Amino acid sequence: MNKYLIKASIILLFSLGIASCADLKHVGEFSSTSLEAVTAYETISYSFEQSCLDQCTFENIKNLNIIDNTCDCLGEQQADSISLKIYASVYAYFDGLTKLSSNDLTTYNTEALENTLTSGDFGPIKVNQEEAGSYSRISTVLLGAFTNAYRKNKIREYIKEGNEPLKTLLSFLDFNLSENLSGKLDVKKERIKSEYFELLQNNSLSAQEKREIATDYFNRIGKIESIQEKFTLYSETLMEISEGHQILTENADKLSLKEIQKELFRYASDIKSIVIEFKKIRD
Amino acid sequence: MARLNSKQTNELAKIFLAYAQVIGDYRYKNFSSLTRAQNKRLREYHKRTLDYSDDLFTMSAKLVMNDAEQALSKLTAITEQMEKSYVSLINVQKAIGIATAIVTLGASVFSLNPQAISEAIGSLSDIFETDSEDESA
Repeated sequence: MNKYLIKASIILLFSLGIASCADLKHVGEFSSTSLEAVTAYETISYSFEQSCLDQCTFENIKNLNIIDNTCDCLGEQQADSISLKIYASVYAYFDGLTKLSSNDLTTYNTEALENTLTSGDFGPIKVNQEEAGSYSRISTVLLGAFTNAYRKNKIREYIKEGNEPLKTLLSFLDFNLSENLSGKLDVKKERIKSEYFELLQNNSLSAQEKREIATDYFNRIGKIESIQEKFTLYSETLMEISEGHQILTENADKLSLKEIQKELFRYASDIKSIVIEFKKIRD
Repeated sequence: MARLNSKQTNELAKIFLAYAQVIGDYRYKNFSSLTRAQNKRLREYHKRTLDYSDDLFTMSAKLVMNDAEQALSKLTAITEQMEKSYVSLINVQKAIGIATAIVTLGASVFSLNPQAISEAIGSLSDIFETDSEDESA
């Protein structure tokens, strides 16, 4: 009977040991990569307010107005604050998911317990170092198994509940940047074209002066297109994140499957590649 | 009457931008054959149409708030729950520290060694102090 109990205990501990090693590395990798990728938002040096200020300054220069040069950009500030609010919410979600899926989170340190039990002067009570080590390891396994099961359940729950609102917010953040802000840049390009066209019709300018104006025109358009390229790449990143999270949600009940892990690592790797491309674009 | 949503407003902004491009291109191509007054009028129409487009892009971005509000509050609530789970898992490590100190204290009481008892009480009290400092921080 005793032998049977010992055997059962060993099997139980072995199973718990496997459970405690439940690897959430792929979830952690995907969420930390997503977190890093969404922060690229902070490196985009253009905003709705900047667009308003640029246009306002342009009008003041054109009208030679230096007296009343205040710019009313309240609407644009509101537009920026909405994008920022969405960004902050997405950032906080991935930050939380990264922390919760970190493998270090449930690797508890019981070394202190082991040391005090063996090195302490407890009079007649003697604890053998080997025994203390074994007890300590067993408690680590049990503790890890319990807490890992807890956080796996929680992560599953959060991923499933968070999927729809996350995808909605990612698409709106993308929409505000690559559709609305980029649209304003298209308007700006059209304004610049009109401005430079007027300048080039001026017959009092020399051919050299006109060439310089044309060069300046292409430089300005090039800078705007660099910003738009950043929006395009950021949009691709947000789409990859959205698709990766969808895969995560669909497989939330089988997070340990090798195929799922491979798929999520692939998404993380694709996102990293886009971020590298993004960083290469100069402002 | 139903109000426009952010997507519809964005579509309108794009339509106005396309109109402006057509007006601009027409003016550039026919500049020499247009009278000064015609040119001026077309330039003004071009600018006004671009202003409409510009403002509609901003309006569309602002309307996103109406469309995204529900998703925003839902994701924020989930993130708050996630933070609570994280804190509770971090607390397990604190609990181990406390348990270690208590076990040490228990063993030292059995040992009847006054110095060991005093040291164990000291380290237990240190842990509780660190814990309360963390919470108040």
